[in-house]
Amino acid sequence: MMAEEFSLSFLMELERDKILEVLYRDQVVQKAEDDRIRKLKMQLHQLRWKGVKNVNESQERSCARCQQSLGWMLNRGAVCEGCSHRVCSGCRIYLNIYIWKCTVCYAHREVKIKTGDWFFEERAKKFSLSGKYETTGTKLLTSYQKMSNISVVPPTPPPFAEAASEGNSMDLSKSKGFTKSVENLFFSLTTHMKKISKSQDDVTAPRFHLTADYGQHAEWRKERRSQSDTAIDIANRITNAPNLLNLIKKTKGTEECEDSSSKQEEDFNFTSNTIFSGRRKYGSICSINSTCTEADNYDKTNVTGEIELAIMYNFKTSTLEICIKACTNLAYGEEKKKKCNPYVKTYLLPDKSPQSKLKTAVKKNTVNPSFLETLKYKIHCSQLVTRMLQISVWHSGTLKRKVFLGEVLIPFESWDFGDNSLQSFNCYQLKTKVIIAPQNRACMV
Amino acid sequence: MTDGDYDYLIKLLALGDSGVGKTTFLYRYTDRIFNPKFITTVGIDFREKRVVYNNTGPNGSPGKTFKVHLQLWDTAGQERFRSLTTAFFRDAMGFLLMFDLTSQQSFLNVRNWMSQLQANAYCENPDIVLIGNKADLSDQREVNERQAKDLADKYGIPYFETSAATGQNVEKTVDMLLDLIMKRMEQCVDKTQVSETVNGAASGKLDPVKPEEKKCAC
Ligand SMILES: Nc1nc2c(ncn2[C@@H]2O[C@H](COP(=O)(O)OP(=O)(O)O)[C@@H](O)[C@H]2O)c(=O)[nH]1
Ligand SMILES: [Mg+2]
Ligand SMILES: [Zn+2]
Ligand SMILES: [Zn+2]
Repeated sequence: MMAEEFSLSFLMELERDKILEVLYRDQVVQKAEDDRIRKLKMQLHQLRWKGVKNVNESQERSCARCQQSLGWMLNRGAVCEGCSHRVCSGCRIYLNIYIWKCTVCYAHREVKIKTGDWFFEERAKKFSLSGKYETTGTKLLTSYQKMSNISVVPPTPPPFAEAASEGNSMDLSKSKGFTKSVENLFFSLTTHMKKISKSQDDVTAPRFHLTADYGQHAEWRKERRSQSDTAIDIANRITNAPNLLNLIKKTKGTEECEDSSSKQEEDFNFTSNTIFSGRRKYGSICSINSTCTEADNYDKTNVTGEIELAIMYNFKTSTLEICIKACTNLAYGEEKKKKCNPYVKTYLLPDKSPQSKLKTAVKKNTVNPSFLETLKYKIHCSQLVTRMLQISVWHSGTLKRKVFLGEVLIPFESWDFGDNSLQSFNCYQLKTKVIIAPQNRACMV
Repeated sequence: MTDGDYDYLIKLLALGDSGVGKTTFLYRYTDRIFNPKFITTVGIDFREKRVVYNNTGPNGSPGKTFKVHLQLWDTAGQERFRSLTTAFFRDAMGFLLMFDLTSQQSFLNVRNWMSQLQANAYCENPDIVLIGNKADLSDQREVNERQAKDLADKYGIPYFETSAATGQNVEKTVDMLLDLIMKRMEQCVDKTQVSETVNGAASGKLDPVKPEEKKCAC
């Protein structure tokens, strides 16, 4: 009897994890897409800007696109139906034998197709969604994160109350944007799951929010079940948390205490709203969506340079080994002072807990640091496919200030550890942090 | 697979009763293999594939080729996931509506799925292909081709009989849907740009002196 109930609730929890995992994968797709769209719109913007400048600069009759002067009788040019600018025959692109557009209008049309704007515009006619570009996946995740937050609000302020309240207020301000139906939807999904496991014990509801593992560790799950849980309990677990995720062990033991103060500053800042399980687990998404202080940090420096590293998986010891060789041509952490003290930090996403964080030593005063350090994660190879390695480079400034210098994301979904070419050293271009904010996408004009 | 080196992101979604072969079909399409194991889809899932699309230019002349990143959403057919799965309908640009040729019931339910689509898809008449799957099990067939074709004609959508087991028509079906969507994209932008032009011309009459201030150049 008990065993049956156990397996049922186990299943529901797995279901929820499975769905969250899918949503998380979707965010990766979405992130690449947002990046691509931003680039396309930027290109169009530049093209258009060029045209406008030409028009303003010259008083005489000339082609708005290439500035070639136009005659009054011969080579008069013609007015583009899209933008009403006069253009020469060389700056027209024919859609068919009758209809043409000027180069800019044509590019505009292309961008509208390639960005999927045609779709979002069509959809906006049928649904009045809060965000024109927002996807159901993103909404679900965000409201899930919000819900986890609301239902586990600490009764008494935990030691990191500041971070917690920051997360709250931010969510409230964002919450206006969500359509009620989706919230209800996820709520019904979650209550449905709760209902089924309700008979189990009375800590079901919190447990629903507090599960932090990937569902493979029945042992640990059982142990958790017997614990009464309060928010304080979680808080403790997060700050000390040595046994929270023994799936991943730091093999580099020393630095944990060395940077405990910077951890406060950096990680809590970064994951200010990742205190609770759903948030911790999918903290990266959450921070992507948010406009928290750390996100601002990402904008301040430009990102340049490359990182050279090798990734190996040791099947004998079940360890993922990342050998960080060097970085080249990094941006300065403090541009004015031409200062840069770089170090490399890794997370094995979606886990953003301190257990998942590894760091190299800080190199002083260089934009071409050589590290030659190996960072190791103890993780079973079967779990690796759902993970993504986040390798970020940071500048360690005075007063423990951190400045983001770039990152590389490596998903293991289709990684072949038998492939030797992947195991040798490779250079990866450092990328800016992509902040997904679908509502804020520049409107096409 | 997650780099942005592609020209289009096209999101398709498979729907239909549980057990008709949606998951197996998508697996077949992306990985070209038949996975006979029955793994129930939990709520939602997706698979991805990069394909090269050849666009025929105006007058059927050979056109450009594009890299298309396909995100193929898979949904659970079961009722208890309904509210979750239908919420994903509105993000998809095209639909693979599937029934099982060996199950009359799954065919009868196509009507219900159609009305779900009309309510939840991004527009009233999205691009859909109707798929009769498990064509390889001809001795167990319960739905004949005529019946299915008539229904598809009624909705004005194409119909294909496929087999995720043998691969019959699987690629052809997805290609067809992709084709429909690519055509629609062009229609959509040209339609709206024509109406923009009409407005532009009208205001142009009222104020013909400042052609520079039109929308296009801002
Ligand atoms: N013979 C045959 N079996 C199929 C075919 N497609 C799916 N199946 C089987 O039908 C069962 C249900 O398939 P599944 O893809 O899980 O259905 P779904 O619920 O729609 O996702 C599985 O056992 C498949 O192996 C097919 O084309 N031919
Ligand atoms: Mg399925
Ligand atoms: Zn010109
Ligand atoms: Zn134009």
